[in-house]
Amino acid sequence: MKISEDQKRENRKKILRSAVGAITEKGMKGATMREIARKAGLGDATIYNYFPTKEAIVYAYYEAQLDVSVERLRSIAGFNEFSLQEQLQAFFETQLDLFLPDREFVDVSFRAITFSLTHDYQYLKPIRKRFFRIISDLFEAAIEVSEIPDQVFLELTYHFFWDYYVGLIFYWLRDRSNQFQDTTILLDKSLDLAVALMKAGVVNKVLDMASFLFRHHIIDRLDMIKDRVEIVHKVKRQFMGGGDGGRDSQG
Amino acid sequence: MAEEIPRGKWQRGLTGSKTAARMSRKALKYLARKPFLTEEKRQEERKALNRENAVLLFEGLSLLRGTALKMAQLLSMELDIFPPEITKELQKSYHRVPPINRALVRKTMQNALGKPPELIFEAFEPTAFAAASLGQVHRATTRDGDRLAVKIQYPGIRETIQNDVQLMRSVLRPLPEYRMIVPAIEEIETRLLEETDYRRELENMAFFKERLRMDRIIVPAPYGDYSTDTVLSAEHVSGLTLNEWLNTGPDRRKRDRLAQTLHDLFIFGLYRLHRIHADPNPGNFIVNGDKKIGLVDFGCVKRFDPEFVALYGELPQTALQGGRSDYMRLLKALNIAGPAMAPEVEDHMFKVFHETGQWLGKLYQEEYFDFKTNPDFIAAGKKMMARTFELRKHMDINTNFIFLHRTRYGLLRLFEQMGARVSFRNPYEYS
Repeated sequence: MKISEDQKRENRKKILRSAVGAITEKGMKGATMREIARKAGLGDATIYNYFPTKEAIVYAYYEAQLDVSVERLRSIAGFNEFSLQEQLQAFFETQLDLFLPDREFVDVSFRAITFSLTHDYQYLKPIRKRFFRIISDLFEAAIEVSEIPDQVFLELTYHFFWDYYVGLIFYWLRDRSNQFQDTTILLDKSLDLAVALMKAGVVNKVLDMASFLFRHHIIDRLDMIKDRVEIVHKVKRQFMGGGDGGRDSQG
Repeated sequence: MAEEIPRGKWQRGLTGSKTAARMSRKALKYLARKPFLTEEKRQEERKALNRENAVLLFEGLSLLRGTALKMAQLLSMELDIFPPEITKELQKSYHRVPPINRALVRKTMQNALGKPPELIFEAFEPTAFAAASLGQVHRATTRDGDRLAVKIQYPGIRETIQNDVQLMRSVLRPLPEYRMIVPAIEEIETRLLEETDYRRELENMAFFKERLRMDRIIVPAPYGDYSTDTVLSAEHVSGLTLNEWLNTGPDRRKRDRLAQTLHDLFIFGLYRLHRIHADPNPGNFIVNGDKKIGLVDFGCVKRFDPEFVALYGELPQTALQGGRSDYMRLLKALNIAGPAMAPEVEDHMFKVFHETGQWLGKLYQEEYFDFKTNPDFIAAGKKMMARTFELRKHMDINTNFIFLHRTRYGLLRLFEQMGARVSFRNPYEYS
């Protein structure tokens, strides 16, 4: 049976909603694909046409929320006139607003997804990619209108904001204040600080200093380090019982 | 803003106790030297100590910013609470809350009213047009076309106030005047907490809207549907703030009329409603077409007992015409003087208060009092107040006076600034 793209999108949405419900009630381990499928009104096998695992559904939820945030930000009147700080702040607040009804689900699942280092990384990648695209849009616009000076290693800044995002959500999950206003205040103050640092070009200055140190002190010693590296490799080769000790065989 | 406000109690505790520790050290130094000083030198040392303490206190408060500064500012207006050295330092203080940016405005509105501003109002200006105490004010238009002023509070301000007040106590404890200051701090804390409860302000506004019937005063209509404890909506009053209006160079007649209106407003509130608008900041008076005054910001409203108001009303008449026994009886009834005092203390107190009374009486002596021809009136009063302060060991502070004086003194300062001619006589005090 062939179903339309619209129907597919609708089913995906239903699966995400039912997964949030099932995982909130039973936890990551307790919820089963079968239960999620039934709650979404799909056949026990059909669900696998959409997602291969429970984890994949969870990752898809976070991806989808990033997409919804972008739509919401677009609907704010005069958003393009906001300052960089206001835009970032509105973005993070929108994310938290979207997470609010699913707070318990986020509490259960967020740690699992952000700290998974091994095979799940392939799932995390699209989330990070979406996140970086949003952040880089905002930054590039800010640099274009000279709101902040051009930043060296802009990539690093984006990575910093990813870590910030993860940290913020953990803070929010532990926040016990009325309407989570402590998170709102933290967000306001920390972004104020971060944007002030960027405006002052602090990152650029730190890198200037680092590159000076690197050129004048590190390069001189590179030869020395090279010798040491050789020694280490020799020892390792001996220890592993010969062979190509320089390379990781699992590659 | 370059510097972060130390917020958590833990961190504020650190800066607070730092100030306290440094002050105690100064006090110790003074005490250690005390036995070896002549009386004259002792006075001098004492003054120097106060001055140094004031500087330290001010430094500590500047670190705390926010509410602590607001409190410092309020305390500094109570000329009779702090010695002049401390007052001078404190008067440099100003109050500043962090500005609320557009993203935070949306979030605050969403938290308070459940929806972002564009879904609540026909139009909402994301940039504030005025600063308010502990918040800021935005223009908005309802779906029915009513123009509103919407006041928004910085999140978490109430929690910060409570922490700050506790810290203020520990900072001020080493001061010799601590005992005197405690009731003032309590009064101010109550008032600050009230000021951040916008629901209460809405009630105050509704009260004045209904009861304050004066031709030349406009009280904006409150809009309860768009208000919560952290968001307050009211009819927008158009016009210039008093300072802006004065800058346009209005003629003498207009200035006199406006000053008189402000004074009449105070008298009406105190004696008829037993409730006054206790924040005579020029930004709270909106001059509408040269004739009328729009009253905004009902966050600081003080209520009085009828008994207190009646006694207070006797002061000018008694100060001008009464004898010593009348005057002392009144001071005791108002709890300014203690019930049993040594005769020499009473002598001294009468002398000082009599002079203060004579000074205040000048306002009522003639039909009109002209600030233009009495440019040193307030300066003389400051000296007088400093002398009353010397009596502080023998006095209790009647907390009713704190906001009453603040309002009255604030108004006198405004009249002086306006160079106005005002008739202070009224049927309740002296006519």
